[in-house]
Amino acid sequence: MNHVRHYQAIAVAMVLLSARLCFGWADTWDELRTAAGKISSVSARFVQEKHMKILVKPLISEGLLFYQTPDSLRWEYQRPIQSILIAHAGETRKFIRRDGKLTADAAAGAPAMQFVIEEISRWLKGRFDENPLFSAGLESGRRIILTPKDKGLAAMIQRIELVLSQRPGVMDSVRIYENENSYTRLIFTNVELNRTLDRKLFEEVQ
Amino acid sequence: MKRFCLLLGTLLLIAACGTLPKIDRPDGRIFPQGFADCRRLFLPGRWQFQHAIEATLPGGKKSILMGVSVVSSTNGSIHCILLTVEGLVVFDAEFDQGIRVLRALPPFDSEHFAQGLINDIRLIFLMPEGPLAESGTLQNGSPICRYRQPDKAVVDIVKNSERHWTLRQYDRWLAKKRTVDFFFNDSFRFDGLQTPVRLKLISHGFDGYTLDMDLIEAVSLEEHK
Repeated sequence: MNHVRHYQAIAVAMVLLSARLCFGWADTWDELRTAAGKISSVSARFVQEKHMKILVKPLISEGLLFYQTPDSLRWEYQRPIQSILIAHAGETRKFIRRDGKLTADAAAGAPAMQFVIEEISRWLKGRFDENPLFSAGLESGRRIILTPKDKGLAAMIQRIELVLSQRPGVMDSVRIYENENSYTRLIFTNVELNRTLDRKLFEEVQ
Repeated sequence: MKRFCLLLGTLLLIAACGTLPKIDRPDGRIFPQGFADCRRLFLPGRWQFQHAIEATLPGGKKSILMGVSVVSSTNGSIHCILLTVEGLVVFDAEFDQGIRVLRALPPFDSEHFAQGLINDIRLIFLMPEGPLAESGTLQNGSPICRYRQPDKAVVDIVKNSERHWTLRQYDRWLAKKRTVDFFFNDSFRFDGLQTPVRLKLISHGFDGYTLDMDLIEAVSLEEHK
């Protein structure tokens, strides 16, 4: 299930990254890293579209994300299945709605969550080119392309395309390609930076 | 010792065998639409269903996934996909006379799993293959249709109420294999047709499991040809 963890980590990191990239659009990795230090908090909505050749219309999920420096995170799918990942004060928890109530997700074992958090930390610091799992490239049109180095991971994720917005701090979209017939697209809206966030967001699941 | 084992095996076999619920008042008129009611569980044509699935595995471990099933009643073809909440496809397979697995990540990568999942989807979404053998009512008065399958298995479809139906599958020795409960409400109606808003499948036996499926979306593919 390592690759599943990698994928989940990437999905979480992409969501966070969307709003964390307040780097004043940079052309180099150094500029990205330097600009990454200017953000204290992020809140945003996201829509996740799952596109597959077999599907006549994409599968749609919606959610919210909140991030507070140094390491507090809430990544929440609101529909169709409510699922909440919270990392706060060195602890990572995941909850999922079952039978009308949010319960801890036993499938989210500690090692997997640690992996997720490590990936998020690396990316939030703008260190795309330091991820040992991916080759990173900055391209024209404000695009970052991540390509897996490991064959096993490449069998799951062909590539990741991040398209940055003209507005500093906002990403237009992220596409995670599993293969030519299947990709996940994340679209971010209502991005707010450096807003004071209620601590309860990272301490309570409701 | 051999005799003991043989005896034990025979006893176990007998114990595993079961009997079918008795059908009272065999009478086709129980279903005034000529048994069309039993067909009501299965939408005609080609459909794409999306479900939130809670799987309870042997040992009680629970897992939540999203499932997409593309099913055609015309030719019996199936395409099924399982995804994590984050959108990762962990299982992708199609059935059209034979199973073709397109993607299967652990722990969904066994042949046994693929065959079982396809069988479950066929059971849930497609009319039983065999002919209607009997119909009538159970002792509690619930209307029932009984189908004999080509492999001598039996499928009973019971109408408990307008909004709750139960399908039971028995193997050739009449041991219960699967129970599927279908729950309807008014949320999903399509030109007079209805699809269950919730499904609960129980796989009986040593390695039994349960699938709770909540319908997220149903899309008719006839207009998307």
